[in-house]
Amino acid sequence: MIDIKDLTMKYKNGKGVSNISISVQNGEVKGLLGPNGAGKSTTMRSLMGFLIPSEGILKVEGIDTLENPVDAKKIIGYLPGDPQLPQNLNSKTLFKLGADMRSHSTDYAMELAEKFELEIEQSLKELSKGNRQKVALILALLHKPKALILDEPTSGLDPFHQRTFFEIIKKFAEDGASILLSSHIISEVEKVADSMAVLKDGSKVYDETYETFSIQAKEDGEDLEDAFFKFYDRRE
Amino acid sequence: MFNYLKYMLTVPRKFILNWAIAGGLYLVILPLAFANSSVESLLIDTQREAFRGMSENDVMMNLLGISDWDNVFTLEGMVTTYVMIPFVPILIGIATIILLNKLGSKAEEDGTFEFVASLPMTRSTVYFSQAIVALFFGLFVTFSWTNIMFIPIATMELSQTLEYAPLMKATLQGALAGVSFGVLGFAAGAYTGKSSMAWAFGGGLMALEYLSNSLQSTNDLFLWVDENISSFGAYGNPYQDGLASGDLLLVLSKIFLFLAIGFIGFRKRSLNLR
Repeated sequence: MIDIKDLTMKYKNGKGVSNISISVQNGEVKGLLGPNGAGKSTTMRSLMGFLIPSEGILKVEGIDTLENPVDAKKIIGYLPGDPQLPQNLNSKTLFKLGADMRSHSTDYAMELAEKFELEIEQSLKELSKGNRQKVALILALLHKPKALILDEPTSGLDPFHQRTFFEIIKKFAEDGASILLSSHIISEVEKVADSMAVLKDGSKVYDETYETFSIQAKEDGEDLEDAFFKFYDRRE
Repeated sequence: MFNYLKYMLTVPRKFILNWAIAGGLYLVILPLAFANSSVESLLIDTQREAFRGMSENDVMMNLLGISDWDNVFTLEGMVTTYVMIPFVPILIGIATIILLNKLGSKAEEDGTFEFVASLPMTRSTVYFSQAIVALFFGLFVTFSWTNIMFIPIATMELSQTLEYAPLMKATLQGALAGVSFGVLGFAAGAYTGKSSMAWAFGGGLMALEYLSNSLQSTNDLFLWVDENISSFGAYGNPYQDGLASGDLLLVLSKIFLFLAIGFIGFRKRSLNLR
C-alpha cells in the first residue's frame, strides 16, 4: 500500500504541492493526473525521498520512505518522468548493475526485454527515446517490486509497446502490487487505472474510482476528456 | 556499497582509464629524453636558454613550482618540481572534480542520479561511496602516471635515473594535494547539488593556493596561506627529505574537513533534480 498523508513540499520559488493525501491499496492502480507543473513529479519524488517535504507522512507497505529509505526502496520500483541513463553502457550491462545493486538476478529483466523487443547489446546512446524508456521501465521492474511509482510511464512508447506495458502493469496489480502512475492524458488512465487523483496547481482537486468519474461524466453528458478538462476550466 | 562502487567505476571507466594511462604515457617522454645524450644536451640547452632570463624572477619561477633553477636541468629536478608541483595537483584536482561531478552534482542536474537515488541505499552510503572514489581516484591516477613513467627508468640504461621509493613518496604528497582540491569540489557539489559550486570552491581554492605559492615572496598574506594552509606549500621536498608528518597531516585534515562539510549538506537536502 502507498500512503501519502498531508504532503507539503515547496520549492524556493513558492511552487510545489500543498497538503496532498493519496493512498493506493494493494492490487490497485491509481492514475495521478494533471497538466505540467501540477505537482505530479514533486509528489512522486517526495515519496521517493528525493525531495524533503516540510510536512507529511509518506509510507509504502507501512515503511516510512524518509525514515527508512533502504527498506522502502527495496520494495519500490520507480520510473522518473524523464529517465536519463548512463550513455556509454548497453542495456544488458545496466540491467546487471541495477540487479546487482538490488541483490537480484537479471532473469526478469531479460524476460521483460524480450517482451519489449529491446536490443540489449546496443549502446544506450544509440537507442531511440522509446527504447530508452523501455530500459528505464525494466530497471524499475526488474526486482518485482510491491509498489510501483511511475512518472509518465508510456512517454515515448509506441502503441504496441504501450499495450505490452499495460499488460505488465495489470499483472503486477493482480499479484498485489500498489501502483501509482502519472499522466497528462485521461485516455491512458482509462486503459489501466482503477482510480484517479487529479492535481491542480499543487493541490489535489479530485480523488475517486475511475468508475465513479466515468459514471459522473456520463450523467453530465460529457465525454471523459471534457469532464477532465473541467477541473482546469479549459472545456471547449 | 560494493555494487555501487562497481557502478561508479563502470560508468566512467573510459574516463578513468584515459586519465590513468594517457598522463603516464606523456610522462614517459621525460626519462626517455634523458636516455640519449644528444637529446639530453638539446633538452638542457633549450631549458637553460629559456630559464636564463627567468631565473632572476622569483615569481615566474614559483609559478612553475621551481625553487632551485639549476635543479631543473636534471630528470630528478624536472619530475620533483615541474611535474609533482604544480602540475600534478592541478590536473588531479581538475580530473577529480570532473569525475565526481559526473557521479554527483552534475548527475543530479542532468537526471542520471535519479536512477541511483531510487536504489536501496541511504544518503550516507551514497556519499561515502562517492567519497571513496574522490579519495582514491586521484591517488590511483598519479601512482599510475609515475609507475608508467618509471618503466623505462627500471628497464633501460639511462644517463640519469630516479629512485623508486622516494619517487613514490613525492607521488603521494603531490597526489594528496590534488585530492584536497578535488574533494573540496566534490563536497561543495554534494552540499549544494550544483556542479558550478564544485568548480567555484574546488577550482577557487586551487587558484588561491597556487597564486599564494607563486606570490608568497610579494605579500605576507600569501606567505601565511602558503605556509599554513596551502596544499602546494605542504609539498615540501618529499623526494629528498621523505614525507613530513606535519605536511601530510595538514592535507589529510583538509580532505576530511571538506568531506565532513559535504556530508552535512548532502544528508538532509532535497536533490537538485531538473
